[in-house]
Amino acid sequence: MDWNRLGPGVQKNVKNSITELRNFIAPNGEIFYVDAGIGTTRDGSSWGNAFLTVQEAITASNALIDWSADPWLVDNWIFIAPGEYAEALTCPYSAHMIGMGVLGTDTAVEIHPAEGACLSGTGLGLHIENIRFEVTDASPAIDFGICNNTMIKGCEIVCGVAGTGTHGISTETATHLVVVENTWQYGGGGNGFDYGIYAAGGADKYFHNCRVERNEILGIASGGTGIYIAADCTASEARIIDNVIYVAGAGKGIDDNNGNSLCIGNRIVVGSGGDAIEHAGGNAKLLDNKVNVNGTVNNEPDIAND
Amino acid sequence: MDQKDIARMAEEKALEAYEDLTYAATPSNREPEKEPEPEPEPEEEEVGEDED
Repeated sequence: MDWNRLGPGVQKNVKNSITELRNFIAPNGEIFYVDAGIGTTRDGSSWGNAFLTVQEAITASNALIDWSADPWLVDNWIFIAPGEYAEALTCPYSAHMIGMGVLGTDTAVEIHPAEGACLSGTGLGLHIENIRFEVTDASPAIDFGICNNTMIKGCEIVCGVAGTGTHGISTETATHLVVVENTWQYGGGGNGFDYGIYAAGGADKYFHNCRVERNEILGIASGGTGIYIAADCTASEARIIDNVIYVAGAGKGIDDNNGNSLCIGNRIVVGSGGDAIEHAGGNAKLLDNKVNVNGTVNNEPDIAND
Repeated sequence: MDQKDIARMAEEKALEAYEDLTYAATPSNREPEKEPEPEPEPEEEEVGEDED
C-alpha cells in the first residue's frame, strides 16, 4: 500500500496504533498467530508469518514461561485463523486461545483430531473462546486432569463419534473453572456424549468455585447425563446457573452426587423415566429450575403454597 | 526443558491451589472454636508498662 497517498505521517501513525493495540491486548505477553492455510509454517509472529499448527503456537507460548518466577504468568495470546486443525492438543498455560471466524459455518476454527481428546492436560490460567472441538473416538472432547483458573467460553463441544462418546468436558479436580455460553452438539452418527460435563472426583478432589452458566447442553446420548459431579468431588461454591439441558430417554440433566452445587434457573428436558435434577443436597440449593420430564413440566424445587 | 518437563511443572504449580482447599475441607480446621487461643498474660504487659 502506498501510505504516502493518505498523507504525511499516516504510515507512522498506523504502525503506532497497531503497536498500541498489541500492547493493549497483551501488555505482558506475546501474541502468536496460527493459520492452517498458510502452507509453510513460520515463526508465528504475524498473520503473514503464522504457525501452520496450533500445537506449535502452544509450544512457543509455554516456552516463554519462567516457572521459578513469581508471578510466573505470561498472559500470552494465540489467535487461530478459520480452518480445520487435525490436532490433539496439549494445554497452553497462562494463555488465551482464540478462534477467529464464525462458529456454525465453514469459516470457523475446528479442532478435529483423528483420534484422542481435542485438548488434554492441565488447565492452568487458560482462556479458550470461539473454537469448535470435535472428538472422533471415545475420548473426552476436552480432558483435564487438574483444571484451575480456566475459562471455556463460546465454544462448540461436538460428539463426532459413530458410537457413543464419553465426556464433553472432563475434569478430575478443578477450582475456578468457568464454562460459559458453550453448546454441546451431536456430530456424525447422531449419537451423543454419555456426559456433557464430568467432574470425576476422588480423594481430595474438587469442583470448587466452578461456574457452569448459560450453556446449551444438547448432544447427549439417550439416557446420558448433562452435568455430573461425583460424590467425592467437593463442589463447594460451585454454581450451575441458567443452562439449557436436553437428554432423551431416562437420562439426568444435573446429577450432583456431592450435593454442594447451587443450581438456579436451569431449564431441563429429559425423556421418559428421566430425572431432571438429582442432587445429594436435596432442595436446599435449588431455586427456580424448570423441568420437563417426558412432557410434564414442573419447578424444582416445587413452589410452596402460602 | 522438554514438553514433558513443562507439563510436570504446570501440574506441580496447579496442585498448589489445592493445599488451602484441602486444609479448609478438613472439619477440624473449620472449627477454630475447639482450639481457643491461649489467654494473654497481662502480668508481663503490666510489668512492661511500669518500666516505661
